[in-house]
Amino acid sequence: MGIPVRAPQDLAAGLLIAAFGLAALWLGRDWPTGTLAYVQSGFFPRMIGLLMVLAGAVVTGRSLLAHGAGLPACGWRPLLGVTAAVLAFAGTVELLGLVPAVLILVGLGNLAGQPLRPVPLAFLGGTLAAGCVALFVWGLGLPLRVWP
Amino acid sequence: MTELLGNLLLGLSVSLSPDNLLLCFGGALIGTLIGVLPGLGPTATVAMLLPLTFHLPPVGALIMLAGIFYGSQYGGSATAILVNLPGESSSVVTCLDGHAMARQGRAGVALATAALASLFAGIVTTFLIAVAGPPLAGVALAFGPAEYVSLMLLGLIGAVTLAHGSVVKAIAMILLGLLLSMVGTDVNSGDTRFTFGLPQLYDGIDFVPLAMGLFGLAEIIASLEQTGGVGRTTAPIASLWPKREDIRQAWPATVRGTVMGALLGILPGGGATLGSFAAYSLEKKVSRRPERFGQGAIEGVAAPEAANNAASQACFIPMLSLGIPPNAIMALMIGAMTIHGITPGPQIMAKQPELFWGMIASMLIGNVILVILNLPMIGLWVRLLRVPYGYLFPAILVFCCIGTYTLNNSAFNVLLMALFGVLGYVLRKLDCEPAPLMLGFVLGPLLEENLARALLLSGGDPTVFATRPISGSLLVAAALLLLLMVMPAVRRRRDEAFKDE
Repeated sequence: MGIPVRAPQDLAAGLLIAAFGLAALWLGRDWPTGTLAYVQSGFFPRMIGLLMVLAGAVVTGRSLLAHGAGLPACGWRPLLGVTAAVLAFAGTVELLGLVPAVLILVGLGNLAGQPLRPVPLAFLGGTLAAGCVALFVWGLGLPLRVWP
Repeated sequence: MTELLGNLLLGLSVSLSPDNLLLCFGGALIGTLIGVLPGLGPTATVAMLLPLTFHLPPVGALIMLAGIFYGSQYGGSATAILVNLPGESSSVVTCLDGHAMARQGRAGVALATAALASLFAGIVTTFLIAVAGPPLAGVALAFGPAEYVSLMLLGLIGAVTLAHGSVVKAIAMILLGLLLSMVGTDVNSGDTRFTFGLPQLYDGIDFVPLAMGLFGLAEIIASLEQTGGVGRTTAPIASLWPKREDIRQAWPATVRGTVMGALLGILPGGGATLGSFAAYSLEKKVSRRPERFGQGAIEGVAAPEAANNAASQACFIPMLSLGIPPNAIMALMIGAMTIHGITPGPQIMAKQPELFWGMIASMLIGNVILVILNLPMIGLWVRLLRVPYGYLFPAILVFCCIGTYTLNNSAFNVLLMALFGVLGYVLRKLDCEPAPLMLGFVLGPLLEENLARALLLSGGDPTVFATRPISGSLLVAAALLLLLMVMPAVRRRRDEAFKDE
């Protein structure tokens, strides 16, 4: 006989919160806590970590007792598209320069929503790249590499 | 009184300089521009536009940020009225009667009412800040570390009161923010905490990638998910000018809304949302014909809009005079001030009067600019609403990335932003709000420092927080607040107030 889960959304939230707390406690296991009169670097992390485990346990416990919302569907496409686009920018801006990085960002980001057709997409990417160079490099004089 | 006038004059001389006037105008314009986009509330807008102000002098940067803030708030109201889409929780009530008016072909009147009510509330609250700020800062000077700890606890618990949904989850979000604030080198011992051996984390997590990821990226992902990137149809706008009858009805509602908003805005944790909801229910109570509400009653636009603006400006009082942010937007402002090397708190008024009074006077000017900017240019905003999101969001993404990158030319920060974007999205899906997290993150170092200091001074006696009179009463207030929230009766009312979200 399994334990009835009445609020899957709360269960996930509670477990996530408790996991953060446990991770904090584990990562900080060697830091000195000191005494109350002279607290050291481990004191605060341990206190917060414990409180988080406690809060996570309360939320998890409640999910077994009270009815609540189910797990909402995840929008994989926007989540992955936007994240991939931003990560690609982070990976290319120093290697290739601003213009290619912006073009890659716009190209990948386009996949996150309803994709634009090639011509409007090229127009959008070109305008944004040119606009960024004009604003950030010429206008604000930021030291950015523009081309590879 | 003469001192107040002198201070305001000093402020006006700062904020009326051509540079600052331009920055105020620019901030209000860009803030409205972004705020008008559905799904992007003031917090996200301010987070995204922070980078614009990095390279400005501190006064100019704060004036521009304040402009962006109330610009985006106004933009949110326009979206609420025209498309029935609240950009953030404080414009939810405006949707009810504002959009009803728009459907009756009175969108212009609703927009004008919103703008004028906000202007009135803004002017009144600016004077309130000028009057109430200095005495409050005087009180704060008597604060020791124990009082600061208790005040921060009160503020954090106040913030929890307003987070809709679970109280425990909101507290957990504060704790997560506190944990994130500990990443980096501990100032006292030199130990590195939670850095995973990455040298990029030795200085701690930057505030910008965190705020932009949690609010900016996560909001983009969420609105893409909801709309799939299509444009919206908007209500048409005929005449802008309210009739004599409209003015007679809207005027007292505006005054009541202003008072309500300003009072609730000063409270720790209070803010625009609570203000607008409270003002709306007050109007419904005092109205002789409450059945008109929801059908396009002009008081239902004037009162919450006035309250909304009054509350969001009154939030500056605890932020500027105590250095304690009452909500996520003020936490963003504190973050921005820190980037410019300014420490908000009681000393700021004495040490940097041009900065303090310049910012306050700029609110007066900003409110006037908003009305000038919005009434004649409303047609432009309407057209912006029709631009498909597919074109807009890549532009916003580009801006977020470059802004985070150029903070200190670090691709690592962009990577962090992506991570926090995912975290923000996951938290949203689990019904955990990111706003308390942001507050915890900003208050974390301050809380840890003062906690350690208070304990050191008392020789390790934790009762010091309860036995010192000011500290003790702040703790009692915090406990009462928490108790009120847990009490089921209040709980039910709170859920009712937020049920439209």
